[in-house]
Amino acid sequence: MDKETAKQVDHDLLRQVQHGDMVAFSRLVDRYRNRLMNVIGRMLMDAEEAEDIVQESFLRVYQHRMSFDFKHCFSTWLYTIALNLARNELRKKKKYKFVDIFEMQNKEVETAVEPKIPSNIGPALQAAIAALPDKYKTAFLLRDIEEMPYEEVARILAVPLGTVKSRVNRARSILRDKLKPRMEERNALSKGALLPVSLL
Amino acid sequence: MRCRKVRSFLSAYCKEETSVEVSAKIKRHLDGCNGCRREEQVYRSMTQLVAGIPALKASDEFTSRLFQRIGQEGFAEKRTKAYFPRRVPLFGTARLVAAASAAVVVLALGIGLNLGDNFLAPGSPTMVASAPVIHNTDVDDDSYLTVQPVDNPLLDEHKSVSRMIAQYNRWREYSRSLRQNSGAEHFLGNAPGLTLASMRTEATPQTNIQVRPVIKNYLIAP
Repeated sequence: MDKETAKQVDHDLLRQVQHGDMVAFSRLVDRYRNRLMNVIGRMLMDAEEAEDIVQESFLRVYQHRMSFDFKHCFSTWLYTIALNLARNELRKKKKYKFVDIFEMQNKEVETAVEPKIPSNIGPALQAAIAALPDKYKTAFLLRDIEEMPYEEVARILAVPLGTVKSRVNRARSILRDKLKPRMEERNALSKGALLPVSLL
Repeated sequence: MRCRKVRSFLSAYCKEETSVEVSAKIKRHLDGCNGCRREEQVYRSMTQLVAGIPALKASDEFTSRLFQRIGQEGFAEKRTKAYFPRRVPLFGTARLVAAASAAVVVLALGIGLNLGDNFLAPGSPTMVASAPVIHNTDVDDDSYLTVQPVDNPLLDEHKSVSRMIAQYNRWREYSRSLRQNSGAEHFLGNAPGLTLASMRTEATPQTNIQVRPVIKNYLIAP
């Protein structure tokens, strides 16, 4: 489904929602819940919290359904609401950071025994994405994970197009810096080169 | 294209986001540069990995829980904190500065006006008429038309001001005589030294004319 068709479908469904059609609202939720969850979940790194935020976003959409401006894209509106809520949640987390002392000790132990080059690179990549600064992470998630066009990302984040491009580029190069040794090992392995001593 | 420039474009190149021209230049460079080609491989692997990240999904009860919440919250429109404008601090620095400068301006204006009363230019005297509202003209009270010059000896000495006061008094006599038989608009229209614009009145075409001056401060042209 191309972008224009998707936009039209969203608008049709929202018009029905405005007339009190809950089935249309349910379809709208089904269209976006997993996509939102994919972005918000990676931002918050907590599935339960992310689900709460996504739910709150749909609740806000429903509450403010009559004030939607059909000149704009529904997805832009929805993502903006969800990202604002997620940012608020992150801010609260930063403000009140509760750390379990036993959990901290366990983490220290885990770090100590972690191998230098893990065999599975997936978790490392996810950890590297999670560790990105918020502004880079949001742009990266929308562009590279959700594969949204740059223009829409710019509208959602309310920043100029050039800023989005530079943030995405910056996020990619941070990830590359963090993952480069692992990537090179992986490339070497895939080409059948000699295994490094650490992997034997 | 140099290595540094090529590497800044590599992530976009691997995602096919660069223009045809830039892509061609990068490709030419990569053909002859091993270091940049290794970098390209790193980016390509990373792109593949990112594309392969398993998507997070909402739980199966998501929609049912959402509808349950909608039922609990009610369908009424609700404004939330996110939609309210930002709260402005009560005693912010900017506010204090603005208040202080406003106070200074008001003070300066007050002083200026006082000085202005005492040192009026001879060509532009200000006459102040204290005018109680008259509802019934049966009582021949035209005290509202009484013009008193500002209490300033400099003005009294000035001939043009005295001439104006005399002229105004003549007009007052003239208007009093007219008021016996005609409307206020008539005598105001013929009043020397005043125009209708400078003295707005409400007149009724009745025998007992009700005149209510609206403007109390008259500026009389010499």
